Amino acid sequence: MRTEILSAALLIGLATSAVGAPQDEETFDQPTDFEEEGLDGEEAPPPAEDGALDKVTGEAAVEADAEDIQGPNKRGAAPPERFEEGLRAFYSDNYKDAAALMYDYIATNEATVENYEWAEYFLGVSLARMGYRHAGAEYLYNVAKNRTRPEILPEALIEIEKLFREPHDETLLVDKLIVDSDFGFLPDYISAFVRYHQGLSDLRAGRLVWAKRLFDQVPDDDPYYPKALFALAVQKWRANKTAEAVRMFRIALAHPQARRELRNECRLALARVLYEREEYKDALKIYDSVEVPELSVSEASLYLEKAWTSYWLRDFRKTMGILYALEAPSYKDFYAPEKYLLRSLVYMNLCHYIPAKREIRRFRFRFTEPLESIRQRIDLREDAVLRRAALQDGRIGRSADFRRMLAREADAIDFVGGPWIETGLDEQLRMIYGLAIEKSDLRLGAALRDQTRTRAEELVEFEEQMYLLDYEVGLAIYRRLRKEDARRQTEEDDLSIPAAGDETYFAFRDEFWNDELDTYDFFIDNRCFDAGGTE
Amino acid sequence: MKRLLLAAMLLAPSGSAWAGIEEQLRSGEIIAVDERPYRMIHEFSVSGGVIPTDAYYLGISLGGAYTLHLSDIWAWEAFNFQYSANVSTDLESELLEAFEVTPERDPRLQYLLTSSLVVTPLFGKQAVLNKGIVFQGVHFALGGGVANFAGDDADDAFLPQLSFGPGLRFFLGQAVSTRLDLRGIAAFDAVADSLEVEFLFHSYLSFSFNFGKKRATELGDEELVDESTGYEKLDELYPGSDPSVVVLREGAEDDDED
Repeated sequence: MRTEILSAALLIGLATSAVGAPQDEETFDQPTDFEEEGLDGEEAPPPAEDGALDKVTGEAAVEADAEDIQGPNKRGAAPPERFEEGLRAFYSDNYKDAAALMYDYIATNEATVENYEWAEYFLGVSLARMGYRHAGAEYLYNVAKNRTRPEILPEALIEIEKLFREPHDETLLVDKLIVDSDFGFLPDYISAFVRYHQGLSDLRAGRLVWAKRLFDQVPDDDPYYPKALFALAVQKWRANKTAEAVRMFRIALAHPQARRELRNECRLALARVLYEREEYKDALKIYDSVEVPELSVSEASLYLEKAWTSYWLRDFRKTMGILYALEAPSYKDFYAPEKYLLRSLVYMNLCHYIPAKREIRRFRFRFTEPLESIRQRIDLREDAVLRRAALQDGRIGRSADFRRMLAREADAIDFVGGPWIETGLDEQLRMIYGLAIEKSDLRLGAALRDQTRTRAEELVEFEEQMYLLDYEVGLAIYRRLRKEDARRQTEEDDLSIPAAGDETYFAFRDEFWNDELDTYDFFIDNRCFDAGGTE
Repeated sequence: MKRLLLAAMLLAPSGSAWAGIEEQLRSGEIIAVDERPYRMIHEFSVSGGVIPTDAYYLGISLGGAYTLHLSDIWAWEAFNFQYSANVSTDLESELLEAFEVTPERDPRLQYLLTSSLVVTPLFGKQAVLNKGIVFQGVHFALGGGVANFAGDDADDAFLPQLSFGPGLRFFLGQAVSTRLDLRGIAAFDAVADSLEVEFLFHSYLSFSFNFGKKRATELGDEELVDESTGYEKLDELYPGSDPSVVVLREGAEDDDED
């Protein structure tokens, strides 16, 4: 009896951790590639203190602008013809020369000179189109923030919106520009973008009425409308108004302007709703309709959720198949301690006690280092496993992507030269990127401190559950069996493979084929004498 | 000494004990169970190939076939017609020029008509330059039919023939596949009291076009398919959440406060 109660408690805990609380947009993230240089293991940025972060973040963009205006090389003021020359280069798609000429114009003139703002705008756009997205964002930020020429504002915001499709400086563009500015009247084609982000910021800060007021200004036929609906639905779900949340998720999903990514987020949310209602069969059907980028962290996370759903459906073969797919090299950095727990539970349910204990040992072996780091009370940010886990998703994951993008763009400055060096743009960009990388490192360091701690707490909790499970397995081995409880053979016990049919069977030979990952089936016999198993 | 032996016997695990431990350690096997990507049903193919008969002429074959697939393994190639356009090699003219002799002409193959049983025991996939996957099957055919031979002076002769050979199919899609077949053909000719056997080798490349959805062996075998999508349960649990029955504008009418 005691065993059963312990098991029930354990499994309830597992279910909660598998699905978790309703999640906001941050959890439906693009994949993070941990392999790239700069954020992986020891090569990651050093931890930073919050005070230092505050100092730098507030002043960085201003410093860059000030440097622009003063001109680093004290050359004579460029004539208005330089701007026109730059304009011609821009419209000839010669962005390299356009950027150099525009920079020369703004670096050697006062901000009051004619066409100064346009020069900044064209400089920003040229840089962005050459792949220097962050530098472009900095100049476009200046144009949009200063608003000395209101007619450029919509154009600048359109270019900024394009930058949102890739990793970007959220503090600069969202917090400081969009949220912190009153743009006044904006044309419809750009106002939805601004209102959506302003509303989202209010929603995250808990200002629901303000958020709704802003979302209401988004036209029904705009792509930001279903996104706003989704954000509101998440808020409803968090507030335990699930019926309303479901309705809004479904409206967002069916909206003709909803993009593929958003539709998948809606499907994922609906599947989670059904999971929480213990409607596992239907949840699995909706999970199956979710499309995520192949071999991404999102896909691994989806697999894990499907594994839990299959587990509750008592489809242990499928559960193990999905968990086996997570062993593929593409997911080797995916942090999921619960997969050991789930595998052990499956083995225990099928009365394979030695393999069940072996999974518990594998967990301990895999997480020895981080658990030791936690016990030694070292700075958790220095532990590679916890760092990777922390960087896996959410806003911090996006920050890590942005940091990698900065490193790539900074490296690419070396390949331009020519007019960029002559005008000082090369030096200016190095300064902008140096500062941005420094800021990004500081922000990441600060965010990592909280996130690694959260991950460490989760890991300790899993370790406790593993100990409990180990005890459960030990008890189950010596459980007394009664002859009258003997289990009858069912269809599930039939592990024979037909020679022909609509399905092909490829036995796994230590080689992961990407197209097979979601088709793994674990052929294992049920050794339980009675029908009880473990609930 | 006897005691030591007894102790050793008692301590040594028996065969069945070892088997038990191995059994305990064996913990399942992973098998990728894929839906069969392509199902052949009614296959029509056109082909071209070569029949290297003897030193004096070469048969260039053109033909077509229809195959009825009974299952993923068994198929009946109902007919396979191959016309042989015979092309002379230069040997005959060289002999005439050099030695002023003309070889005696044997009757030449005109066409083959065969019906075969085809078995496809091998099915698999291959990685193409690590960028794509191509599915293929290996089959073996055994059949019989007639071979038509004609000579300059003789009348047409229809000879019974047996053919056997392997083939390889690459799937280009559900409707189209390409296959390479190698067939050994034995044509039997009763001359006087003896039986002469003419051996031919035929290799040909085909493009196959696949039609139909249901095999002849599957007729009436309706399988119940669960077509629910999961959203039905949402309708049931949250009535009115179906967007096709609600007003589109959301959020504005909510009266939630901070």
